[in-house]
Amino acid sequence: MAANLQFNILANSNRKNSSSFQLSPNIRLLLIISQVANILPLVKELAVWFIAIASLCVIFQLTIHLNLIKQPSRIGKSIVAILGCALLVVTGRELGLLLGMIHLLCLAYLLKPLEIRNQMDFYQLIILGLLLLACSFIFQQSLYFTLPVLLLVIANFCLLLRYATPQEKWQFQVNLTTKIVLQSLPLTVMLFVIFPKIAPFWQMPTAKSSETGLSDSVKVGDIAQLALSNQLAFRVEFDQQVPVYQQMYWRALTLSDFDGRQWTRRNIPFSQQTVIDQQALLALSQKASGISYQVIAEPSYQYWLFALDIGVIKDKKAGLNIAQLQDYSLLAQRKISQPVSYQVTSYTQQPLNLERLDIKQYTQINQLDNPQLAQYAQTLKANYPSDNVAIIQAVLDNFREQNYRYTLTPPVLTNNSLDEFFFETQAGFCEHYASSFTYLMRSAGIPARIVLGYLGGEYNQQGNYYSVYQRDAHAWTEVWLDGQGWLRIDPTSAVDPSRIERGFSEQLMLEQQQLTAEFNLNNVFNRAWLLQIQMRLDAIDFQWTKLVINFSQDSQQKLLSDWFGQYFNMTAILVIIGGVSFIVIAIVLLNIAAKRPQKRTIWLTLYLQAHHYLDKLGLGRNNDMSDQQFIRLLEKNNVELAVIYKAFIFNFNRLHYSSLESSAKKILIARMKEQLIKIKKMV
Amino acid sequence: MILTIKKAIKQRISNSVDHWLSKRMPCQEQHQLTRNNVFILPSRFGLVFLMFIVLLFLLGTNYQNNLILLMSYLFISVFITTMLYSFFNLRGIKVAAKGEYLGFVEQTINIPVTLLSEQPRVNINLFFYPSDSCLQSQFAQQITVNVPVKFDKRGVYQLPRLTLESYFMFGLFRCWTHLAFDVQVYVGPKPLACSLNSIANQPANDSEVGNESNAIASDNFYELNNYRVGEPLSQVAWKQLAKTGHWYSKSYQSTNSEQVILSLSAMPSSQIEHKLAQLCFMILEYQKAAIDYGIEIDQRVTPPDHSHHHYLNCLKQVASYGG
Repeated sequence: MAANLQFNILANSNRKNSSSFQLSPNIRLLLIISQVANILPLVKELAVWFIAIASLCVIFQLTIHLNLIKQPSRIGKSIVAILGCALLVVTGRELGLLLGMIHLLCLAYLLKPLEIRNQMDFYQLIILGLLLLACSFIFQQSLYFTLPVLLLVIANFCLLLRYATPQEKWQFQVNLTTKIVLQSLPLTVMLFVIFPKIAPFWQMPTAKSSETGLSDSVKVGDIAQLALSNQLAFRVEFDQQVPVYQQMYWRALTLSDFDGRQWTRRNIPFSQQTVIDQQALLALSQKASGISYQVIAEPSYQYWLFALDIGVIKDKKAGLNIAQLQDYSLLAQRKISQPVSYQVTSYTQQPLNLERLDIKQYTQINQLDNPQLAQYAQTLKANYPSDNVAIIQAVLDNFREQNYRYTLTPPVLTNNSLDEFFFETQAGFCEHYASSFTYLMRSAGIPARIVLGYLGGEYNQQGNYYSVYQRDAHAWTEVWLDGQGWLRIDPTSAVDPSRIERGFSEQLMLEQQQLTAEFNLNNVFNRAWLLQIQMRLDAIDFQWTKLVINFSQDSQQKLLSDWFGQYFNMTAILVIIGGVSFIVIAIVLLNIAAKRPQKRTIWLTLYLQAHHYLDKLGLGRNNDMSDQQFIRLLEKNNVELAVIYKAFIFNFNRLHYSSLESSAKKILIARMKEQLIKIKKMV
Repeated sequence: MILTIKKAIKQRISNSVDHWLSKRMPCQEQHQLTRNNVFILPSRFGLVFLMFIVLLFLLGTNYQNNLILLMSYLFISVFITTMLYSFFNLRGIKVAAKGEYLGFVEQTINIPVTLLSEQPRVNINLFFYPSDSCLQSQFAQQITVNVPVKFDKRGVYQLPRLTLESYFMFGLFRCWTHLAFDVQVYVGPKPLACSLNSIANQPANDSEVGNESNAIASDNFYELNNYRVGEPLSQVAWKQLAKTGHWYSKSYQSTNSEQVILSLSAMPSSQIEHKLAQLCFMILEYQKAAIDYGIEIDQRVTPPDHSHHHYLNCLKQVASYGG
């Protein structure tokens, strides 16, 4: 009968914070494991010295757990805490506000177990762990990161359940928690889609992560370095028309200043940037048909965004303020610290002549930096007087005909000398060619600048999108020809045409593989099916990035209006939520009201009052006592009272049980009132 | 001053809560837990957790980070799901307790409470309100738990409300109920030892208690009865047991034909509560020795006997004296 019965007496119930609160060894061990697990997602962001301290803390706790050493004294604990805080203060400036806070949080999380004195402390620890897991999303958001974190969340809930039900098997806890989380998912998704997305309330410190990808200064060798990275830069999904591969020049920024060593651009605050003529852009978009596509950029911790020429941002987004600069590049107001998506239409066939040229800025050069190149430019200028196109052609022919090599491992140049590259080593990567070409143009008096960006992209068949990696980084040149505007000249195309047409040649691939120590499955197996799987996984991650990470106010609005019709907006949602909750509350209230006894009649009130007085005399009336019985009881105590009561109850019965005219009722009620007063007096 | 006001307010609130409870969930022999008598509110941890969710929402909104937002939505959903689970853990349990119980002041009195359920239940705490010890139980079909209760004063009590609570799942919610049972508890005074002789020497109303320690020895063996559970082992007829395997108890007929009547007024102490305590002690002693005894309280005489029923009756009288 009594199957599986268990019960135990808790001498001091856990309802109260007892002084002898102690976690069971099992839970304590799990707690230490969960600490390590919860900090793991953040480990990339933590300082090395902090990781050392963290490991010490964990080892310390393990030794306590194994009873090798005793619990540290209060002073010991304080010293550790103060030491950690002091280290944080010292390194705080270097870490920045956000990382500093996260370090502090981690420190608290690691030291808290030494101070678990009651149940609430334990719960606080769990909440801290969950908070750390949430914070890890500030830094990384890919699907492959999210899924393990979700598992960790479930594990934390498991630990809570394990704590509550130590007698059960662990399968019970895991199953139940998983069940609950899975059952919660539909509501989560609904909330995510429906719950109005709100603009940020206040500015938060951003992560001070190192910048990735192109930077706003380049010297020879920089891009060759970047080409070693297989990190994703951005992904593009074309709406319909896809440009040919050799047209996929993704512009990021232009560089116009050369100091002899590196190309830079002026550092101007966002608000003072010269913006492109909006009228001209508008006219352009009305005149020509463009290619439209969506770019989903990975966090680069920089301001530059990517588009084909001439890229026009279609719909401005609430969270993302993008300026379209005069040099046709796109600049975000805030650092790209998490994946962003934006819709662009590019008018690839249109000339880049929407601006008034500042000739001085684009022809400025120091002839002494590379005297040989300057000399060569003068020769060209003399050979082809006032024929800029011929000069350009001559230089490109020179690249084509002479024995120039396109390589990731060019010989080192002394003092970044372009002369040395052009006339002696003749081996370099795109920035070598672009750099010397631009220098030559400027020396010849042709306005020119360097454009940094990406070239090409890897097509993902499963997801129907292009991935552009850091290794696709590229530098090319733009020259200004009167009447045509800026013209893209890519000297690389003259040296290594396959780079432009198909991407890296086999030779380059080989060089890249040799240079990257990175273990790459692709390179080892190079099997088609493995590539397929990789593509599929990447396609899933792309959808995740597009649908979840980039789900914004606008996409919410769009989705909901797709579902519920054109005129659907946030106010409508609020009205619906408000309306539904109003109806629910109304129903509940009505239900409660319906359950309430009906409104008392006057005579019932009088009757109850009379009994209230009689109760005081100790003459209570049970429900199973008849009128006659009660009157007899009264007679025993007080005959006079009994007489009055008899008349009172007679009136009451007439009012209560027979239907009377309202006038008759009034008379009876008046009588009852008089009798009630008499009863009251007697009491 | 403030303390007394605080106390008064507390008293007032608890009174009105009691009143409300007694209207809503009146005394019964058996309760089934439904949504009408189960309360559920977030525990302290639950409130902290809610605050944490709000914090996450702010964090996610300020960073425009959908994953953090998603996490806060997940947590609020888990919170709601947990609420349902904690309620379902209590719903449908049948709780029953009945009868009368007897105990002494400051002694733990165990009240058997029967829990019935078709599904397995976990982490249910059972306790009577003012008591600070509680039982934790999980069970499948049926279980009878002895729930301790203690009283500081002699008297006849209605059993206090039984609190059934559970923090089941993650401790986010406290799901509980206060059930009243039609159970009387007679709480006798804490027995106060007193010398038998001191009473014997006193002129009792109509009894002479003399040299009781030898009572059994000096009494004559009268007959063998079937042994009943509860009779002292000293009365077991061991020889017969060894021979026949049957349990018999020996009955004696007192040679001292005078009946023992323990009188309250004859107790040595001057204070009435102490007298009651002493009387209680005497009853216990006589019952232990299995000697017939009667009691006399305020001229109401209960005739001598030493059955269990008689014993209970005597103690009840002591417990309810003056009440």
